[in-house]
Amino acid sequence: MGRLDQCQVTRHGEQPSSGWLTVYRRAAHLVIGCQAAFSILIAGGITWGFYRAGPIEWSMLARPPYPQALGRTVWFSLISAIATMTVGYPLALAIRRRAFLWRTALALSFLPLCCSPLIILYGWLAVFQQSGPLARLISLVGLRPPSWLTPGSLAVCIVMTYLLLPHFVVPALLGLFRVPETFVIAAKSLGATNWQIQQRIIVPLAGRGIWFGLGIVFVQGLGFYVTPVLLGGGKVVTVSTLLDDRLNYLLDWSTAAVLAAVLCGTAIIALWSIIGLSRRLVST
Amino acid sequence: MGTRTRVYRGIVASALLAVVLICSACTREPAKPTAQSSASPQEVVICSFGGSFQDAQRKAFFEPFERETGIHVREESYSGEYAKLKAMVDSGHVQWDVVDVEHAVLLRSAASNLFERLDDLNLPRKDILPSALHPFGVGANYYSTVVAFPESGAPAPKGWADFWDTRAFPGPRSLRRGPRGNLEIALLADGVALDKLYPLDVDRAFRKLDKIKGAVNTWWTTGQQPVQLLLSKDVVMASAWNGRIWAARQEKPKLGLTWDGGLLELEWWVIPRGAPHREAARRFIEFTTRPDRQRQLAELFNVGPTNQRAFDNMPAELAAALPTSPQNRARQTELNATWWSDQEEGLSRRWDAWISAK
Repeated sequence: MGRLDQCQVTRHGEQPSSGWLTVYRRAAHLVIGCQAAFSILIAGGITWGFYRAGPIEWSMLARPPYPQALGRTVWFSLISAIATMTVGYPLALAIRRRAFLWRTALALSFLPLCCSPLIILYGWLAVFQQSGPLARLISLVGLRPPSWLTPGSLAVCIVMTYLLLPHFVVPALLGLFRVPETFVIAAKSLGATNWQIQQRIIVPLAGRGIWFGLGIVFVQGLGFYVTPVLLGGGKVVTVSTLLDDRLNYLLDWSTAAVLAAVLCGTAIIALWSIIGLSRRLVST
Repeated sequence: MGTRTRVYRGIVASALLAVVLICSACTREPAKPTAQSSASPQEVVICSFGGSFQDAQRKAFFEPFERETGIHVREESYSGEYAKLKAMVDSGHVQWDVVDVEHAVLLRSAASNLFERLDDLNLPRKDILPSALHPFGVGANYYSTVVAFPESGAPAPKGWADFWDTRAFPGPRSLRRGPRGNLEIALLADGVALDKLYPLDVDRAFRKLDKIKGAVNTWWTTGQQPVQLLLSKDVVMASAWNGRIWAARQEKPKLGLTWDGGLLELEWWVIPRGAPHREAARRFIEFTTRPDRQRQLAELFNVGPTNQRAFDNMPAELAAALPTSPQNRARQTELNATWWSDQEEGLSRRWDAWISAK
């Protein structure tokens, strides 16, 4: 971590305000600690004896719905992370360059943060119906609304991408703003094409932000619950939906604990591998 | 190196803070229940499902109970977060005295000793339908899962067999998410008689469900979903709860239902173990079994009384609209919750594998 920081600093010739950096970091830890403590307080002083309610059977993870659901959860996260990058990177680039329509790009990428996710989801629920506005528009033109315009896996992936977009754009923008404009101007004056500038200057220098954005989006996607429930039309089974059934309805908390541990472990492994990859690919 | 030490120091500081907060929570723990119970003895906290249903319960039960006994009713509502209920009892911080729960939860929780025993309550037992009595709960009301459809000039479906008939009734459909009730529905559609359902032939039910899977647009999770889908004409028919269809009676298009093949289920009043106002809670539950109270609830919201005396002197028009009136009960069957409490966990795993298979 420290090595990479110094590397970035020397490369950019900037002086970091290390005092503030520490304050931010410490604040982050404080927030996480407080959140954990408060969730325990609000739940009314839960004791650890709770989790010993039943024997924990790790072997059950091999039985039918669980491995498939885990695979699907990871797959949906991956797809929406890649889709978020595909849509978010050009938007971030447009915002950084103050290109034509950059304010529109800014508004587009931050729109999902302006409203409660639940309301956004109900809006999308109307879109993914054969009687919805999009289907009506299509039939107005004289075409038959496509069959994928119903709740299901595709709807879940599209809406996840939409909701996660700002979470990619912010770190990507932070990365892009660290690319000195002078480098770009210098490259241009030496006759570099736009593609070369992207490939040789912007992507390598902004790489950490992009990787960070991907990591955040992927890990958040793993825990998505309301989106698969509402837009999956009951057809999409992810670890979070299985978890909720066991926690709230079947009252089988030992299985729920195992699923939660698996989800948590997957997120940690994903973060580690993304950090590792970013170090290997960006710092060299 | 320097940053790393600072990060570790930050982690240690926040961990210490967390420990302090947890300790303060633990020391407060024993004081809380006694303070609650001594503060207001003339109070009972009742938790139900909220919305227009709880409005009806307020008029039929809560307000008359307050007037008669002087015990103040404090209302809470939830949408079936049973984890919260279990957490309350397990941690000894029970905030609800009476809770309205689903049948499955009553059976599952009675086994794990979550509720108070209620078999010594003073109830008009001979008037109450036998299925509405349980050692740990008292039946609150019956509701039914029925075929619902928008009423148009076209012929209406007459039961679950028509639900599967995609040639005579083309268009997408909606069923509830999960195996509970859907297996019964599939077997009824396959021609099994109402009284021959249990034990369910699970394999046959899944084979029958295979045939409708492609036509199901949404497997609904909330009771309002099928109503919305029917009103927006996204589906041509759906399984739905009778109360929800009744509550949408002012909407256009008008929704219809058929009682044939309806699956009757119960909601239950229970007292969580360690409830602070136990005596008041027991009096309240006894109060709710009175025929006149149940009749008023049925007038205000379309649910079936458990006390059959509630049907005495009832207008014929109202009786015909209720799931437990003698004439409608004969066309339906009761979902066997005891069978389900043994099977549901395994079947829900099978369902989740089935639903995501192509």
